[in-house]
Amino acid sequence: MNKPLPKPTAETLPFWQACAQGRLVYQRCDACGRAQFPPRGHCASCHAAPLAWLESARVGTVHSHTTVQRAPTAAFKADVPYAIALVDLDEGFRMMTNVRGAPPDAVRIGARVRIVFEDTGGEWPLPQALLLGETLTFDTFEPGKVYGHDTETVTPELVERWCALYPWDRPAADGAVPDGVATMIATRAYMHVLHPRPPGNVHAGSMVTIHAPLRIGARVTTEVRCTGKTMKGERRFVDVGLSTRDAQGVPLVDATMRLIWAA
Amino acid sequence: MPDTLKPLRLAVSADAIKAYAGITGDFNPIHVDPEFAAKTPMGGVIAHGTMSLNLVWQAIAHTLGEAAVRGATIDVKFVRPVRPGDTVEAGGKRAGAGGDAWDVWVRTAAGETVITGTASIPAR
Repeated sequence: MNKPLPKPTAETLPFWQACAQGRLVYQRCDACGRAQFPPRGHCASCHAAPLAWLESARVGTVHSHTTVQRAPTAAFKADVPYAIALVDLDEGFRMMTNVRGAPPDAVRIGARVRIVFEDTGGEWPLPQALLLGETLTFDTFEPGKVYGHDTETVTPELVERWCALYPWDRPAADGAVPDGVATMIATRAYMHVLHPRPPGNVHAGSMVTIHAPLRIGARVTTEVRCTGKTMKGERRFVDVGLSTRDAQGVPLVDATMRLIWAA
Repeated sequence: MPDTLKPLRLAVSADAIKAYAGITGDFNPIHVDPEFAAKTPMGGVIAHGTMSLNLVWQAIAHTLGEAAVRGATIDVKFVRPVRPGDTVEAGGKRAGAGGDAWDVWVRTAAGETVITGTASIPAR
């Protein structure tokens, strides 16, 4: 017996479609402003019908949790013990998910988590909570240290969203995606690897080299490292180095970002 | 060979900033949460710096062709925030006759410089 797979309904289909794109979406009532999850046809609070779909930043706090010791079906036997949590997303809605990336006894009420998407082997990936560590502060940065790598595939959907914002920036005659997409992927790697960050960081400068064109379907990996940190008066400057390479190791982008770190 | 970049313009709105946050994964509240942003030294929501910087790459590709971007380096400072309602325009000018070095910038419609720096665009 296999694990049950998501079965979208008319009301939840937009949610699952977003999951398939790596986006977490929720509803907000146009009439009373309340955030709502799971998706429904009406606002469960004021019964108004018009609901907006919004995208979540996928970060939240554990409201409560429990540990499953006895598998509900044979399909879950290999997973036990595992943690299930009620997560309050920062946008004001709550969802129940498994907690990944840590043993169940490491989960605490109030812990910060990020929602990631787990392949189910079926059509729809499942949102799951990943336990986050301590906020990265200026004091904890170690210049020279590689903080991690992030790999992603250049999807047509990502390029479409880019072109919606910059309609004049079309794919090149040779089929390469707009050059800015490569720098955007490097930025996404920074967001994924250096996390959680204090709120309110500000970008002070950038040095970026674009080496080679990027194509749809390419699988690219970005190394994220701290290249330096300095105090200037009250300001905390952190330099982050990013190197994006394709699956064969061909350089695509090298960048150094200078950030004013908020804490 | 052109010595100036064809200018490119972008109207920055709160919706465009939210769309850019979705694409980059950068939901820093200074970009998307007016209440939080009001309490910071910025005094309100600001756009992502790279949202305007992208226009410089696009202006290079538009003026000199996509091939010119490959191997090029941009080195800039974000000197002033861009806010919802601003329209920004990217431009550039060759620093010396026939050379690879360019001055590049992004300015608001009011003429304030928001990004300034240099680009090295090797000839092909």
